[in-house]
Amino acid sequence: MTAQEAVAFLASKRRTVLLGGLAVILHGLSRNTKDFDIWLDPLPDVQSWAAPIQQLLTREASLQAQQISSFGGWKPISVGDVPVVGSKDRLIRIVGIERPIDVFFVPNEFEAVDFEGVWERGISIEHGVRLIEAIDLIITKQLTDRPQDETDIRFLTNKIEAQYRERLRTCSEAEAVSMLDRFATPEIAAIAVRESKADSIRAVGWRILYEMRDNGDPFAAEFITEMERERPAKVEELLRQQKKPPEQDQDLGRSL
Amino acid sequence: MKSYRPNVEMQKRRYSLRLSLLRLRKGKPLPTQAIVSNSEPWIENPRSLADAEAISDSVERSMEGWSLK
Repeated sequence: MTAQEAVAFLASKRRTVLLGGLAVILHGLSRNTKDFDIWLDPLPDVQSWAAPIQQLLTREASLQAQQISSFGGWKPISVGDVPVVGSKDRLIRIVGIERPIDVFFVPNEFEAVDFEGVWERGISIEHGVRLIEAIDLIITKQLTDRPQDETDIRFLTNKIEAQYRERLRTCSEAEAVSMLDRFATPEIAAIAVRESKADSIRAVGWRILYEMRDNGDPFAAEFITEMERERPAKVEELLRQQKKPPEQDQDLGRSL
Repeated sequence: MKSYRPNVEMQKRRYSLRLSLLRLRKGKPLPTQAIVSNSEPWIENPRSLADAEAISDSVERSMEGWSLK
């Protein structure tokens, strides 16, 4: 059995989302990776999650399950231990194939209830597997501190920024506000301020930049310095009003 | 739905790298005519698990082939 066949088997039993390095590759970055990372539907419970993995391991004697060892590396576990380990470690590894498969119960930064949304936003590829959406993929990588993840995040961020730049020019105000609420970088917030014709979108852009600057983001601070040269001095006073509820964004944007 | 904002520590590292590169250039402006990307993808528009694996394996082989012995 190949790793792809094993993934296809799991996907035939439960909804399956592709994460990790192979997902980054399908989003367009050429890099190498040693394993498959997949998220199997974790609801309603860990037993349901573990069932197809246990079926696979029982059917294919050459495959074996492993758990992360506290001393580094991986150690073998029995088929019966899969639910317990999945619940505790939030993933197990399947080996005995050309490429190990890391099967997540719940990936970093997500809860089990988030699966539905991640699945809905995913892109169908094959065998019923869905490719995780780019923003969700970045979110899974936020907590890890490996150089490769930083590279992945930069690549995905650039890709999303390019899409946002296009969409922010033409989308409705409500859609723009929703987009910026979900994903924003200093570059995107600056685009919203500089290029949007809608006051409310520009105001949201300003608010995001100020929040980021206050949190210590040097790029946000630089954008603000640049753009403050381009606008009246009364802005500081108006931006202080941004601490107020979002419904005032439109009024603030108009005054800017 | 989860929201994404960049990690501040990562942003500081990026900013620091940018300042270092600017210092290396010693204030010289960027060339007005840059060479456009001349690289070719392993697979154009990869859309399947097999495509993703093929790219990963190609990168791996290339890294091994070009590594200094």
